[in-house]
Amino acid sequence: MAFSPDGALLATASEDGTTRIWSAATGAPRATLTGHDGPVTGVAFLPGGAVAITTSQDGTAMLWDVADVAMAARLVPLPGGGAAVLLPDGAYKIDGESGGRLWWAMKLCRFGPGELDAYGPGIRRLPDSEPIRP
Amino acid sequence: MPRTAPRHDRDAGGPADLLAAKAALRSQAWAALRSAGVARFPGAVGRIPNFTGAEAAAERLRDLPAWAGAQTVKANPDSPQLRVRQRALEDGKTLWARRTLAATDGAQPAKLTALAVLDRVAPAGTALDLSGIDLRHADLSDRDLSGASIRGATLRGMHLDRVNLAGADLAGADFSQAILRGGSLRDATLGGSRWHRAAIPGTGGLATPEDTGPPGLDAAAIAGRDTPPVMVDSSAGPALCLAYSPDGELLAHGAGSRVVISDAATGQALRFLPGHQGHVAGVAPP
Repeated sequence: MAFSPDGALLATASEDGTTRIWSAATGAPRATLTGHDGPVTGVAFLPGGAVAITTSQDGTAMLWDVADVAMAARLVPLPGGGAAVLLPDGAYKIDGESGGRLWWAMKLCRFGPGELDAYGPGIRRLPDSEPIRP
Repeated sequence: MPRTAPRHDRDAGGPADLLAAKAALRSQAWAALRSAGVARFPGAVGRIPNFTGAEAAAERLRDLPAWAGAQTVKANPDSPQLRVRQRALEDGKTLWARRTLAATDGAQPAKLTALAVLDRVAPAGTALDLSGIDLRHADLSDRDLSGASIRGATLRGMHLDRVNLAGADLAGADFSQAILRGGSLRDATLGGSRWHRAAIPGTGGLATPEDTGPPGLDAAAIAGRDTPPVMVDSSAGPALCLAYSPDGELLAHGAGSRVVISDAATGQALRFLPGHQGHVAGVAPP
């Protein structure tokens, strides 16, 4: 668990796959961050407090926009040592081979990175230099 | 300076003496056609020549016992053999081209020749007939099959890149697990065609966000209609249960709080179904 830098919020990670944000002063629940596919093992606030980061036994980390209660990016380590970044609007970055770790599923058809870029709504590869947050 | 006659057998294989003998025979035939003045446009030399009397020759071929006894006729796609191909169909023969297209071990150039034979066998104005043929071992990329009859043909698992199927008759054809990129399905007849686990990431005539595609394509995955979520594999917990789909093609198992749908033949995960809070303890086919 972690306090926000200003001490107003407390974030707790749970085995149920969620992360909860609480008012540190009153104990009132403020938000539930859902998206991980396994137990959440750690949570921290970035300096400034607007962004939280969680780690999970699903092998990925997620950045969260705390005010919007929205996932901002998912960080996926790849088997060969590379990594991918997935954004909620469909954009992604990938450095290295996916190694079967991630794909796009259209019904029950499996497409690797790049195969659906021209077709799927919003699916597009970002340049490595592109910032993932404004 | 005399023009060198182009070799017609540039791509032929075999012993050099055999090729030389064939070349000599070819020259002899060209010379005879020229001196008799029976070569049709554009002339005999350097090609498989069309000639005055090609139709009569086809009729004489029909009188041979070998023709009467043949079940299958092999004919090349060139103009002088047009009547041979037509007569073969009229006499109830199977054209060798259909077998060539379906052969598991045939070379692609031979298959393209076979496709050309079938394309040119029918009288002008009638459709290319590929009905009932197992096409899985033919590369149909960039082929114009518009208006063709592909009724009952097998195209299972094929990668069909930029294949024009506009107006084609696909009734009863098997497109299961095929992937169609580019090309067109505009106004194709789809009745009874099978599209289980087929994908259409972009084909003219459908796949725009407004266009949900013809109803015959319900089973296919179509870009613009079926949104493709990203899947991230993970060892997400214990597998406590599994089930085969009724057709045996898919395997579902619980993995932690997710359900994993896999290809039963390859074991490859296809899709995760999220949503459970605790461990998935049971799955059952619909």
